[in-house]
Amino acid sequence: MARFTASQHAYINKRARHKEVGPAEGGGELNIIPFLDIIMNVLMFLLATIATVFTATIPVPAPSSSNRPGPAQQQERLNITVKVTPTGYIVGAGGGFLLPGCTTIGAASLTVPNRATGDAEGYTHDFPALTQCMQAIRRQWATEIASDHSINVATNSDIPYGVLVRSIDAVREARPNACRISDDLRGGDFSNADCLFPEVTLGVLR
Amino acid sequence: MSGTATAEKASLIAVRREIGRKKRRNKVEHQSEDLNVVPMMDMMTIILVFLLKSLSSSSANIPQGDDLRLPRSSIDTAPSSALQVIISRVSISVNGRFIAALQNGVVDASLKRGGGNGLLINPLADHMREQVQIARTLASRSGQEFRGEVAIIADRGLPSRTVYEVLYTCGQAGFADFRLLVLKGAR
Repeated sequence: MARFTASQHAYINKRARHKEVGPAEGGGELNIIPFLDIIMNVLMFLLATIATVFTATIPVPAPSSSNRPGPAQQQERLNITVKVTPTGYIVGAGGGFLLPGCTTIGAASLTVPNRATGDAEGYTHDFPALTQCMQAIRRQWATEIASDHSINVATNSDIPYGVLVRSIDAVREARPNACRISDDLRGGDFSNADCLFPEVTLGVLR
Repeated sequence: MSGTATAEKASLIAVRREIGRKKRRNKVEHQSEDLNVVPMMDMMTIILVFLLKSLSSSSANIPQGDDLRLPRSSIDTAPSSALQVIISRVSISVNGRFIAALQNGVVDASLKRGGGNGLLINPLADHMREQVQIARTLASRSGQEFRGEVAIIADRGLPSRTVYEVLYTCGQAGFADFRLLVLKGAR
């Protein structure tokens, strides 16, 4: 049988060697690595951004017209108002102001004073005490406000918006998700005992 | 004289056949070294397009920074897809369009009807009236009820009065249902 000589072996290896395509010769194939890099970076950026943004909405309906019939108007309303001042909360009900403890109506006074130290966000307003005040109101006037979950929250002009939102939280419910707000944010199931005053209207103190 | 069969030189045909065989073998080896990234690229592109599409149509697309830090709340409701009014410490914008400049979260008195004590912000009122017209037209054409929803996205350090001024102005323009956009998680 014929065998390859040394020179034939060299010739075969030389001809059969895989040619590496140089940068100048590679025009036929698209280099997708830079595109892939960009996509990876954009993808990572988007994933990192949306991971931190979980938002919700607090429904704040416009005040209803006084001549519109409603279930709450068929009975005597307590007209509960929370005034947010720089020194604390003044809670009004039934045409007067509630004294500390939120069970008796008296002369104008600070119902829930501020704490001496701020919380994690630096706010000195006592949100847990305001929630306890709202619970006391619901216990004290249980029959009068059985189906009335409306409240007016008014603030001084310079109160930070963050304090307003936390105050709305404090008057709305005693524990998270106690009020079952409907999907369209118009009403809901407020029968839970820990659901306090979820129908908030806003006002400003002059 | 060579004499033996083993010392016989291979023919040209045998050499060419051997070259072809070796070339095929080399080609297969080189092919197996390259990672095929095309399926991965397809997948990445699909994910990217999906994320961009979902982000552009959701209200979670809020550019937070030093001038706009949302307050936190314990409420657990779905974010609203209503018209977005963004109030940062330096500006008011509606759906990304600049409306008025603020100085440390306060609206300049010259921009309000009635001056410093006024509640109606003139440039915002003009723009919101246009938006009401557009929203009413769209609602009537699609056979839906105009609900007048506005999502308020405001910095947590803003004076409350600025937020009230925006609410009042939107109310005067014809919007009546406000949603305060907050970050989930407090208490």
